[in-house]
Amino acid sequence: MPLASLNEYIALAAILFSLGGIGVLIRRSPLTVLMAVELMWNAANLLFVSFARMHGNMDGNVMAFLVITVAAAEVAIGLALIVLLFRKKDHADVDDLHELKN
Amino acid sequence: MLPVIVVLPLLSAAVVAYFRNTWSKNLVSWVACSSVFATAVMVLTLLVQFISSGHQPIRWSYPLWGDLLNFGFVADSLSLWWMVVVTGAGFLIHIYSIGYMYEDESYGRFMAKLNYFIFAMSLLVLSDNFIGLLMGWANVGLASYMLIGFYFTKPSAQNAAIKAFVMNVLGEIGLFAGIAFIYKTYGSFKYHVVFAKVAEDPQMVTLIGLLLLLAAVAKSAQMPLHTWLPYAMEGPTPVSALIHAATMVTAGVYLVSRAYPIYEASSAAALTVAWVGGLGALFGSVVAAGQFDIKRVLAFSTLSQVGYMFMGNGLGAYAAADFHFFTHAFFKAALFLCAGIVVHHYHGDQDIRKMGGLMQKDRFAFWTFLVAMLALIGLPPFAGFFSKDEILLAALEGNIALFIVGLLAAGATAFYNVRLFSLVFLGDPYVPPAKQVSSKRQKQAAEAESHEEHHATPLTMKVPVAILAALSLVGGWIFFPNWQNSFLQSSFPTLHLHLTAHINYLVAGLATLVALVGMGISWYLYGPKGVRRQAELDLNAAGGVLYNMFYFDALYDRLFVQPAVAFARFCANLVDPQIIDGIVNGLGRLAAALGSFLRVLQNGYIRRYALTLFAGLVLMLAYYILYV
Repeated sequence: MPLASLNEYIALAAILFSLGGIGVLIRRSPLTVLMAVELMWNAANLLFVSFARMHGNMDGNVMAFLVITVAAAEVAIGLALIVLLFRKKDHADVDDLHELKN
Repeated sequence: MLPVIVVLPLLSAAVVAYFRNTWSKNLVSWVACSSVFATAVMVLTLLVQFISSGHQPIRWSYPLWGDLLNFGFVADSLSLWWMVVVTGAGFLIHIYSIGYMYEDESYGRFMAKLNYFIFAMSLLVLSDNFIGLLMGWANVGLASYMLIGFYFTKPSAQNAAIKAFVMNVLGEIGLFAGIAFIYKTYGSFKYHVVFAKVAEDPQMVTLIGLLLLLAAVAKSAQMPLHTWLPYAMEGPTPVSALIHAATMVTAGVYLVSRAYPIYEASSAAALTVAWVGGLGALFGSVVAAGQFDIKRVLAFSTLSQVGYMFMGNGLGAYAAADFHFFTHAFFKAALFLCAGIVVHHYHGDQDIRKMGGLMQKDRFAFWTFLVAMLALIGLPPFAGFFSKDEILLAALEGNIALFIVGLLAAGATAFYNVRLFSLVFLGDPYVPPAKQVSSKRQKQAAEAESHEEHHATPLTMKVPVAILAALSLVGGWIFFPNWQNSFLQSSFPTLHLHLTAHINYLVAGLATLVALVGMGISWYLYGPKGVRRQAELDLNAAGGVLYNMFYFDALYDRLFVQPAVAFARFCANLVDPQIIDGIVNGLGRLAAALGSFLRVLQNGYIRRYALTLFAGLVLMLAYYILYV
């Protein structure tokens, strides 16, 4: 299996990032939005790893692990928020959360 | 001893001011009067020392600001001449104040301020440099302000105090500018250094002379800055006697006498001084004839007599001017203190139309007032005759027009004095209109009542008046063989004063004649059986030009006060609310408008924020792709 070129990795990351972004923008379920954000995290991670490979050092890999750790923490907080939201309201919709308006 | 003379009254003022409410009134009197008495004794000691050392000036100095100013005091003949009057008359008036002010609840405050004035005046007179003079000058102005406004609950007293202060600040600007030019031109503040170099720059000397004259005119209430003096009579009577008759208002005369080399070097400045004085003498004596407030008559009399002193100064007869200051201090202080006794009889009412016939009730006031008044008119052998004669003689020798002005003023002086004297002491007592129509029995009852109201004058008031009246009688001729000239000669080294006894019979005769004519006319009009007396006593008569003091106040009101008020209104109604508040409120409104615009963006929808983020990201990417 031939190795893909760097440009292909970057293109894949861009596509993943865009898909995640579109998911964040158009989906109203908080759970789905959280998953879309996760997709964007991973696009960034893919770029870190790709560039680490390109430069031949481990800095990017270290950064990717760091991101995975932080993302895990973020998911824990995000899920907790969503659970609280479900308890407070009978259905969950990100557009219902506009109490900070104006 | 010199710094002690200056500082002691200040110390006593501070102590009395601090303990004014805790000490008894007697203790306050003892401290305040004994400090001035000690000062007077020290001045006399210095005087003896000065004379016995053959007119060697006594100096004391302290390097206050290094080379810039060696601050010091000097007791030469001129400053001793003034200090004798300041501390002597000051002491007598302190004693008088015990009797006059004892009932006042703010007695301690009054004595403290009076002491403070003695300090300020001593600083002014004893300084051997222009900075000390300026400091004294400003401090006497402050003392005058505080004492005019002594009854600070009276709006008229407050206004009078502010008026006096503002007028004096005008003069202080002149003094400050004059001293600045002196330092710039001659490089020193010391009198003897400056006066030694004075002849160097004629134009600058004239400028300095005129600036110092501005200061002198404001302080000495000469035209056109005289309008504060009649209102200064709002102060208690001892203040009028000490500050606004005997000493402070003559500070301008002292300044011109002290700075005499400047006026010797500039004939233009000297001529201005002489004419300011001559016109002031005539103006004051004419206006005094139209006043109905006993103290205001005396205020215009002071204005007029200080005018004589200025005239003497301007004509180069500095010693004559200083001699007139000396005699004037005694007879004018006596007149004011007498007026205080008179006003006490009428429970503070100063309107001479409501007096009359006081001779029967108070012989003491009658005689002392008469003696002091004759000294003021200048009849021989009273004190004023000798000093005024010297000034008129100088005018005859120097400037015949000023001589005529001086003679006319002498006639007018005699006129208003007899009018005042006759309305207060002669004729029938004033009867209030309500009691006029009553029956004979009621009239007798009213008279008995008014007799009871006349309380006895305390001894502390009588003794100073008696001493001052005696000095008005003898103060002229005991110096007659021109003793004052030989004493003052050392202060005017470049002049040759008349050192032998001499009297010009032409001047003396003319002056006496004019005075007698003025007295005669006044007696004919306002004497006990005078033809104009009843009309003059009419309380409802409209005030004329003289009563309104030639409308100087109305003129200044139109020229300065109304425009200032209009400008203040303009600022209050337009500049402040529209422009200044407009800028501040405008900034606030701008922030509010910006906020209400930005508030639209914060709609609370998370996905909208995300969209904004992505839109920004896309724009940044587009920029990098297209332009970088």
